[in-house]
Formats: sequence, structure tokens, C-alpha cells
Amino acid sequence: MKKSTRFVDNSLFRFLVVVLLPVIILLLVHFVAGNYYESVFILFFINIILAASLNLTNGITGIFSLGQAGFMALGAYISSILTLSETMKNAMVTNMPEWLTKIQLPFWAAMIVAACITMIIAGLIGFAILRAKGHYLAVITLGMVIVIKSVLDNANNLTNGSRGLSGMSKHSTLLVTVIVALLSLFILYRFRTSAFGRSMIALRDDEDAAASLGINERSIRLMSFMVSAFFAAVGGCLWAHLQRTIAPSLFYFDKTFNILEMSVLGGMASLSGAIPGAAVLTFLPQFLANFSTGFTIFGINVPQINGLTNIVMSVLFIVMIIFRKQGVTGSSEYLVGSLFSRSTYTGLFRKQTYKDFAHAFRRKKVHDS
Amino acid sequence: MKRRNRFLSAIVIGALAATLFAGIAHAGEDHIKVGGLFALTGWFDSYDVAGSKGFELALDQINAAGGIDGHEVEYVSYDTTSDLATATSLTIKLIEQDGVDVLVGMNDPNTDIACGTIAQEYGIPSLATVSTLPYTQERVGDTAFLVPYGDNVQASAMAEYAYNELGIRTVYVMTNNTDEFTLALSKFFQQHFVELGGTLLSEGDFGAEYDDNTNMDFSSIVNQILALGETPDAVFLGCFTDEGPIILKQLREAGIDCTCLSGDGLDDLSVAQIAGEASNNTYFSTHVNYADPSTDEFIAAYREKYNEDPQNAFAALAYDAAYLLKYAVENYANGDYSPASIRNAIAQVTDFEGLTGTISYADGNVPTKTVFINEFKDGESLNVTHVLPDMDAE
Amino acid sequence: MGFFTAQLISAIKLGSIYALVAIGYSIVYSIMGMINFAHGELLMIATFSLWVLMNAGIPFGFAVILAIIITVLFGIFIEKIAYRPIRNAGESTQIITSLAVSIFLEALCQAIFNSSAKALIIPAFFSKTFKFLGVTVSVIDVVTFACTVILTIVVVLIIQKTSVGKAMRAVADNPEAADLVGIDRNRIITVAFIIGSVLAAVAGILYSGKYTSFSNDMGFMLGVKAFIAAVLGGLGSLTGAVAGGYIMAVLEIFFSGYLPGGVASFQTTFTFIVLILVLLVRPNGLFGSNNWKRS
Repeated sequence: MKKSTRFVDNSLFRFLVVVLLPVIILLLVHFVAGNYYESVFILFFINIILAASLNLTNGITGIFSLGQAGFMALGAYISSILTLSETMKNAMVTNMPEWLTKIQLPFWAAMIVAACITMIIAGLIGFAILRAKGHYLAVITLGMVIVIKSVLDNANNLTNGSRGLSGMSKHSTLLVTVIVALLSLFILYRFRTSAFGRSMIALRDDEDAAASLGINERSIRLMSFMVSAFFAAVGGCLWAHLQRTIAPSLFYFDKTFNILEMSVLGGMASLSGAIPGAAVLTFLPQFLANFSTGFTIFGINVPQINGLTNIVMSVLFIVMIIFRKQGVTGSSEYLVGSLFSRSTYTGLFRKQTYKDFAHAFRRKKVHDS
Repeated sequence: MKRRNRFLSAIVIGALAATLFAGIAHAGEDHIKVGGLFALTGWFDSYDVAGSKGFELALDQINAAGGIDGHEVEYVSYDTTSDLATATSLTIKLIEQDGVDVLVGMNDPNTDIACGTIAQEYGIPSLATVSTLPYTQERVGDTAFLVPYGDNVQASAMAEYAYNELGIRTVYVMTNNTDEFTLALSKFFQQHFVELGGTLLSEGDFGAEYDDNTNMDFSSIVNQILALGETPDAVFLGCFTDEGPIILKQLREAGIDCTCLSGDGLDDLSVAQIAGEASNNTYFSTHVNYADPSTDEFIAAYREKYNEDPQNAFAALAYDAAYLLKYAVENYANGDYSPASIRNAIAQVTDFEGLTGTISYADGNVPTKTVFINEFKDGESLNVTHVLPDMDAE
Repeated sequence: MGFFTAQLISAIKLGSIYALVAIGYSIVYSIMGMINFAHGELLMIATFSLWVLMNAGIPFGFAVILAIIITVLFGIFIEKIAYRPIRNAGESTQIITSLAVSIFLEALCQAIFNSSAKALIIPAFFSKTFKFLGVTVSVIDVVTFACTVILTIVVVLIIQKTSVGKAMRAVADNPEAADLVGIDRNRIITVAFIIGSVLAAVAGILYSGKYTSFSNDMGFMLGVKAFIAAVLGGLGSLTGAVAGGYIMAVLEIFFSGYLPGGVASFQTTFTFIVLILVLLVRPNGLFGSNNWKRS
């Protein structure tokens, strides 16, 4: 047996599927498909960041958090307040503190500031609540979402209350979002493969054993919670500058469950799971929206079905979970791993890669026929 | 392992390809394409389901009669599910993908502002059929038009009616603080009522905790009214149909039998059905008088198509929106069906006679129209009067 | 004083509903070990069934009983179809499944009946009002309170005195050991779902009967709040669930009534901060224990 004859491990194959194909699709989207599809793809990449950030806590560290929408909201609000111009803020929000209306930061700075502030807030919250475990923690984080929404709803002179903020510039272009998503995945991936990340997994799998190895449970959990909140805020910031209108009700249970669905459907235990999870939950609803006001199939007029999207999504979910609990990717890091492993790229410069590829390809054909 | 990963990539690629090539539309040059943004589900559906029906009815009639300028009107619509994020994304979809020339519907003011702003950037005119926010034009720009009157108009009409006709001198104002509409409504009512010489006893807000059916208990506000020491002559409700009947019921249950006043947010037959007797002695402003013979034709057509009566005035408003568009394009667009030309055509509309009154956009994008005042009586919504307020006082 | 009494009675009215839902939540949680987010949807199913039956001309009393039976059947069905296959899966898988079930039921109901608010007209007798301590109370409020008390006692008796109850306690205590001594866990889970569904159905009918307005999304948030109330009282403790429900209502009503002007609208914030603090100080809830021995 030769080494690495598996087709999927071949560098060329990995390069084609994980790097080249997405690039081609993105170029097509950007230059051919038009703004609408571009905005759907932007949403897709934002969702990847959000789902990956949740996977870090829920799947990899074993902290069961339902609070992602809350951190996303903080990121969205803080960054929006920072990027909006003074005139916009004065037009929308009454009695905003003057020093705050004066501040206007460039988008990148606002994103980083918002993410850092959110991370600090997450640190404070996490310090208090991470003692709780399991379902209790789930409930407390859900309560946290309620508290954050309620504060945003009522802090009228900062957030314009439930009416929300609007008029942000469209900073979340496809290029920006892809770069941020790749950076986020890269950082999360390095974090996961570091000693720290391995401690998280150890902690998830067996708390006592991990403790006996000298892993400091509380600091690891807190760290993971904070990093997760950081990226949730980044996602929120991008989302706010895509939608350009935010309101507290957009960051409530629907959103938190939406992110959780992506994470579970894709596969919680891996960062890669974020990609298929985000794909299904971004593209399918957009596709189903076409049928929301009735449609014709094989000459038969189907009347409008209220809430068709929800029915299809939830059935898909239940079926998926019954037959494949671990999600699409399970704990395999194939997608993200291939994207960031050097061998994917260096392999392209070796003859052997192409030989193996041809060989595997032929063998597969023989196999198939 | 191996098979799964290939399977996975197939799924992902398939999903991407499917979305990419699904429903690519071709914008027409020689006819008008209208995009409908109505909330067919979710909290806003009580207004928009009727609106969507009214609009489709009018389009059917227009197309059956030869369309606008002899060209059939094409109509694409999606359900915004009463969700702001969905609505904005669908706005882009309608404009970019379906290539619509004009948008109709636009849900509540929050959504109208968000979606209208996007439409403004593309130069696509939008006709809001429910939103009554008077400062829409300032917040969005010159492509956003309202078919209904503004809240300042209806609130002052109601204040005048309450003060002059009902003899009301003291009010308690309670406001749903989650929407631009209810806030503006209460604000203008208060302002005008006090100007007339009335007294505002106190006011109470309720908000986000009620907007998702979490908490239908308004007893805290009811208790505050009871604790005022004197029962106000009237309670003004800045609210929507979802909470309106529940508030009415709880007020009556607690023995607060005074007159209740509200805006067009309370206009829905379901209010009288849910609140039952508690809805008696409640007055609200609305846009049309369905008892008037001029609406008979519309009601008959509506009944024939949908097998029910129009539930509220928003059916008539959306119906007017379609004919307003026809009127504008046929009279002012000179055969140019580009969005910019349609916008200019709408802006030039003067004295368009609709079911809901006479619309002119000469003084801005929010028309000043007749305000109808209705009363709930034994499960029915009956017109009591109509007022054309003098807005020069503002 | 008048305002205080009025607020207190309002809180008791609201708390009774929370308590009813919370007990059901608590029982299902203790037996299954999972948060069943679809529990709130059972309230909606009960209300819609009652509404359909009454529109079909079935007399009120009979329709209520039928509606409860339909809800119980739904409860059993949900458990068999959706929850049984994932019983040994992780916490988040279970939660997400119950969420999916919840979304599905809501959407299905919406597809059939659309999402606008509907009126549930119960016999006029229930909306009669009288004065109690100077505060107006209606018959349905009294019925709600009585149902909460009676059903709590009944459930406690079932769990304390019957053999099924004994088996339930055993399963809640230690599922594996219960298996070893030959307790049919499936049967016990079904029983738990029956009890939970009955409580949810009663709560749903009383809730929509009181407010007369209902829609397809009525149950979810109520369910979440009741669950938080159950956690506050201590999951697994029935008296805890009841207490949690009332505490929740008291916090909500009193914060909204007594907070000073500037921060009055922050009632939800304060309510949930208090709840979170309680859970942090007493991680097992106020009356928490892992079984029903002390309930």
C-alpha cells in the first residue's frame, strides 16, 4: 500500500474542493449573479462565523450556551453606534450622551472595539455564571439573552429602544466578509489545535481526568466563553452592516436557536460543521421564500402555505437528528483543516500528488463501474 | 469517512448551485413590475393579509381591464413574516432579482423605514399601505410615499372629536413603546388634546415584554389607572390589534368603563370579536367607511374573490394603492416605465379619488386625507363621523 | 395599600398559570432529563382543539375534556416520534429536537389556521366578576387558582402514593438502576408525558380563556418562562415549580408596578437578573433536590 492513497486526502483534491471551487463560486457570485445573491453569500459567511463561535463553546468545550444571540446583539449595537455619523445618531436617538455621538470610527476599528468590549462583558458574565453546568447553564444563558434584549429595548438614549438603529453604511461587502470569516476560522482553528484547545476537548470528554492532569477547568471554560463571544460580536457587527437596520427583537430566541440549529445540523464537535450548517440554514430559507406565496408544480396550483419555511426546516431537522445525531461533519475537521493546512498548498508542487490523484481517480472509476 | 465527505461536498456544491440558478428573473422594459412586501404571517398579519388581498384584487381588475396603459402589470410578492431582517433581504431580492419597478405594502413604520431606505438607494418608489408615520419622507427620502394619512392627522382628528363631540376633558394615555407608529400616535394625540384644553392625567408605557405574546397581562397599568384616584374621561390606547382587545377587556374587567380612544392600529374586526362587550364605547380613527355606497362595488368584488368581508381599512388602502399607481402612470409617466419616471409620476398625483379619500402628493409624500372615526358596537365596527382636520395649525 | 393588594392579586392570577405549566415541565424534565421546549406548544394545541370543537357545536364542558384528551395524544405522539430515538443523545441534540418539534407544531398550526389572533369565547359565567379585598376578580381567575392547587395536590398524591409514582421517582433518581429492577422506562415516560400534557392543556385553556385571545405562537414564550420558573424553584421539586411560578409572577408584576419612573420599563431586565442571581447562589434552585422525596 502506498501512503495516502485516499482520494479525499489528496492535496490536489483538497485544493480543488476546498479552495478553488469556493473561489470560483464567489467570483461567479460577485461578477455574474448580482447583488441579491451576493448578499445571500455574505449572510452565509457571517453565519459561518456565528456557528463556528458557538461550536467552540457548545461542541468543543462542552459549555452548553444558548446566549450567542445576546453577544451578537452587543457586537451589532456597539459597532453600529461607533460607525454611525453624528447627524444620523442625533436624528434617530434622543438624548444620546454627547461624547458618544461625537465618536465615529472606521468600520474595522469599530468591529474590533465592539468585539473586545463584548469579550470583556462576556468575561464578567462568564465569571459569574460558568459555575453552573448543563441545563442550568443553558437556562441561565437563555436568561442572559432575555436580559440583554430587555436592556437594548429600554436603554432609549443609547439604542433608540425597540425601534432600533438604521442607516449604517454597507461595510459588509463580500470581500470583507470572506476575509473576516477566513481570519475567524483560522484563529478559531489555531485556538482549537493549540494546547489550550486540546485542554478544552479533554475537559469536555472527562472533567475529572482533565482536572487530574492539572487543567484549570474554570479558566479554560471562561477563555472559551470569551473567545466565542468575541467572534459572535464580530458576526453581529458584520450582520448589522449587512442589514443596516437592527432592532433588539432581531437578536432574540429566533436568532439564538437559528445559530444553534446551524451548529447542531452541521456538527457541533468541529469548526468545519459550521460550514454545511450555515449553508443549509442560509440558502434553504432563501430558496423556500420563492414558494411562500403559492406556486405551481407540474401544472398544479399549490396555494399559499403559511410558514412553509418553518415546516420544511423543522421536519428536515427532526429527520436529520434521528438519523445522524452528530451532524453533517461529526467531529471531522476535514473542511477547515484542509483549508488551513500547509500540505494542501505545498502538495500542489509535488509530482506525486498528481500521480496519486490520477491513480485514485482511475481506481474510483473502476470501482464505480 | 471517505464517502461521507464526498457526500458532504456534493450537498454543499448542490446547495450553492441550486440557489445560484433558482429563479433568475428578467426585468421587463415595456410593462410595470410591482413587488409586494406584505406580512402574511407573524404579528403584523392582521393588517397585511387584508392589504395583500385588496391589492391583488385591484391588480386583477386592472389587468382584466387591459392593464396600465394597455400593458399587463406583473406582480411578485413574498411573505415578510413580520420580520425586519427578512423584509430587508426580500426588498433586495425584489429589486435585484425580480427587477421590480415599484414596491407596495412595506408593513409597519419600522419596516417601512428599513426597506424604504434600501429602495431609496436604488431609486425604486415605494407605496406604504399601512404605515402612517408622518416623518417617513425625512427618514427615508423622496421615493417613499404613504397611501394613508399621517399619524398627526389622525391623532388630531381624534383629539378634536373626543374634545368637541364626546366632551372628554381628561385622558390617560397608554402606549406600546416598541413601534414608531404607536409612539407617534400617542405623542400627537397628547399634544393636540392638551392644545385644545384637555388634561393629561398620566401616561403609561408597555413594551417589548408584550410583543411576543409572552405576557398578556396588563394589570400593572390597569392598577396604575385605578390608583389615579379619579377615573379619566377616556383612555387613549397607542396600540396594535394584537394587544388592543386584551387591554380593553382588562380595563373593563377592572371596572374602568370610560370611553377608549385609539388610532387605526385598532382597526380590525377581530378586536370586537375578541374583546366582545368590552369593545363597546371604543372609538378609533380609520381610513374608510365601508357603509358608504361608494365602497359597495369594492366590497362585492372582495366578497366574490375571497368569500369574506374586508376585515379592516387596509384592504381598501392597498386597493387604492394599485389604482393610484395606475392613475399616476397613465397621467404623468408619458410611457416611461422606469422607476425614476414612476416616482416622478406618483409625486405629481393630485386629487386622486380613492375609496379612502382624495390623495394629493403636492405637499410632500404623506397625503392629508379625510379621517373616518369608527365605533365598536356589539361586534361591529360602525362609522360615526368623518373629519378633515385643518393641518395648517401644526 | 389598594395598589399593593391589586398588584398582589394580579401576581397570583398570573402566577397560577406559570405554576401549572412549570409543574408539567418539571415532571417531564425529571423523568426524561431533557428540556422539552415543545411543552409550551401543548398549550396551543389544547386551545386550538377547544376552539375547533366549540366551533363544531360541541358543548363547552365536553369540548374541554376532548381537548385535553387530544393534547395528551399529541404529547404521547411527540414523545414516541421525536424524543424516543434521541433519548441517549447529548443535551444539545435533545434541546434542538424539542425546538424543532416546537417550531414544527407552531408552523403547522399556522399553515392550517393562519397566524392571526383568534377569539376563544368561553361561557359568560367565567367572566363574571366580583370584588375581593376591593380588587376586581373574575370567576376564571378563581377557577385558575383552584385548578392549580387541586392539580398540584393530585400530582403530588400520584407521585407519593401510587405504584406508578414510585416507579417515576425511581426513574428520576437513577434511570439505570430503575432499569435493573425491571421498571419499564418507556411506560413511565409515557405516564410523565400524560401528566405533563394534562397540566399543559388545562393551563392553555385557562390562559386563553382568561385573555380570550390566542394565536399559534401563544405557547412558546410562556413555556420558556414557566421552565425558568421551574428551574428557579428547583427542577424535580413540584412545590418548587409552583413556588417558582408564583415568584416569577410577583417579580414581574411588582417590578413593573413599583420601579421608579426612569427605569420602570426595565422590569424584564430586573426580573431575570434576580432569577439568574438566585440560580447562581443556589444552583439547584430554591427548593432543589434531585428527586421528589421531599416534595
